Amino acid sequence: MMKKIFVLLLLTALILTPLSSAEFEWGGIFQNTTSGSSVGDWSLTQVDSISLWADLSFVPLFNLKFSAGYRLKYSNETLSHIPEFGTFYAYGSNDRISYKAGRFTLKDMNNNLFSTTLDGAEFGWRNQKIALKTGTGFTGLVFNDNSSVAMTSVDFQAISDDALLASPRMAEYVEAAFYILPGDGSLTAAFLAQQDLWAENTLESEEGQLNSFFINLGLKGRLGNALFYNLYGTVQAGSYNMPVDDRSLDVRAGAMGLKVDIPLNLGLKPLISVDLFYSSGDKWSRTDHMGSLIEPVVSVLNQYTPFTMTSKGYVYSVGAGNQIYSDISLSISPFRGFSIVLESLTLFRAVDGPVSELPVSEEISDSSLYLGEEISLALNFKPLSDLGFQIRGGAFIPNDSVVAEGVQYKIGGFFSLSF
Amino acid sequence: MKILIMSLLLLTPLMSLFSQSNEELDRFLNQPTADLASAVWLVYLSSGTLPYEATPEEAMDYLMESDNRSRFAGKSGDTPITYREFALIAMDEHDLPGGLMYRIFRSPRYAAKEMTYRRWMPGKPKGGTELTPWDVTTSLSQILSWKEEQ
Repeated sequence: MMKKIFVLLLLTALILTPLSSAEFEWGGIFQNTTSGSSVGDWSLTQVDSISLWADLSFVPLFNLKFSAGYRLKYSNETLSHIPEFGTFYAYGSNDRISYKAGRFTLKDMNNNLFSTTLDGAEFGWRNQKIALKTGTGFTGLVFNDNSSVAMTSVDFQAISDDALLASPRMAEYVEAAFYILPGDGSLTAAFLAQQDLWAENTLESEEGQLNSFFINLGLKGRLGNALFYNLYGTVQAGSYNMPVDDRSLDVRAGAMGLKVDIPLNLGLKPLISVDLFYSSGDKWSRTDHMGSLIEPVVSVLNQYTPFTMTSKGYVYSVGAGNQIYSDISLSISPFRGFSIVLESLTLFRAVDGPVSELPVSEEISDSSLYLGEEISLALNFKPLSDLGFQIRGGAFIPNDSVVAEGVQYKIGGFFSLSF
Repeated sequence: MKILIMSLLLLTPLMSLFSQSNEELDRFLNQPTADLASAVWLVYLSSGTLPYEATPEEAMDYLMESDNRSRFAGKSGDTPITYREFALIAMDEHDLPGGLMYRIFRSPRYAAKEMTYRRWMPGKPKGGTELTPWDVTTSLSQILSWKEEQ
């Protein structure tokens, strides 16, 4: 008995001694988003969320971070209670190395390739000229509502069936950044591989496993004092295996983009931002953007399918893959804490085939690649450091020979309070 | 010595205030961590709360009679000052605007968050971090520059 008490006391001391010297920080954020959209039929979406985070610092090379929250969502006349468990990881760094291990967000350095919450580890090393980063992890233990991983029809079906956990995939990633360009610019080269771990015996006909890798090259920096650029290109290759149909298709796809920010040294602090993007697509032999219906003659898929979902647009949220867009915005700030952003998004598809979200089909659409134009206006007001408001409205004017629905509208408000 | 020179360069707006207290300032800048009495003394001098002839001891006495006395009860002037403590006194004495939560609670935690958000403190130290003399002087220098711009 005495031995047990002694061991218990020793363990308590071992835990409490480092805890007593640790720095503890915590915080939280409350957010409310309300929006009404005419897409489909006029509908209201209301999302309220509260998130808490905590940071326990011991020594530079060992610290702990945790965040979790709760979201209440009302959409399509349905109320959803959504738990969030975003991060719980150990981390540390010194002048040369850094690491994270646990549940955290893994992403590439320039945010051009992927960004997702997963369970795994990452390691970084850097000196003045080179930075290296590598990581690996599993996505299948993250709540589906907190995950951005959805690549195949099986993944999307799981989301619409309200599956608790996200698409089960392993990811391995390595990236190098070379700080050799003028204007603090960098040249980056990244490699990402992902394996689909949906069990074969859970798949049905026309469903498949997508295994692929990505090679991404990027240039990021500034020219002079008034032009910031981010140019990148990605190649995707792999295979789409449909075990029930005994088919295996090759995947050969790609994407590229250019983002430019031009802050002008004038009154009202104007900022012009240009975002250009291209991603390859498939023709109508693939009758569905998610890949659930692929004609037997097809042996190669060319639709770019990012590891984590990326979308563009306020009225419609159009996902990458068979997508080309030009997004130009102008932001002005009449006074401190207030800005007005006017945005013009011009959408195309890369080939005459299926696109994400928009009501486009082979039967009703002609072969035009132009999809439509979205104009939106946002008013952002941040009167205090912890308080923010936004009102935003947008209209999508479709190319009516391609997109089935007419002009669509969306208006919404956002509020956040940090504490 | 290097820290001293860097601090003095950053302290241009402050130097005119402290010409009569250079010895005290030298002593402060040569410490590894900022002590409560000297940090509070610098805040009071830079905000004009106390006259330039005041000493760190007088600054401590003033602190112990101020509205914030309960938060520092039992602390000696030699105690290292934490970021939260410094932020509360600096925000109060310089009458700096804070966020909604700071306006409601007036707590050291929200004072430190505001100073980090406004970049009035170099880096992003945690609330319980013991400040260095360089942190204190740089922060005050940035606060004075910001006030001058308003």
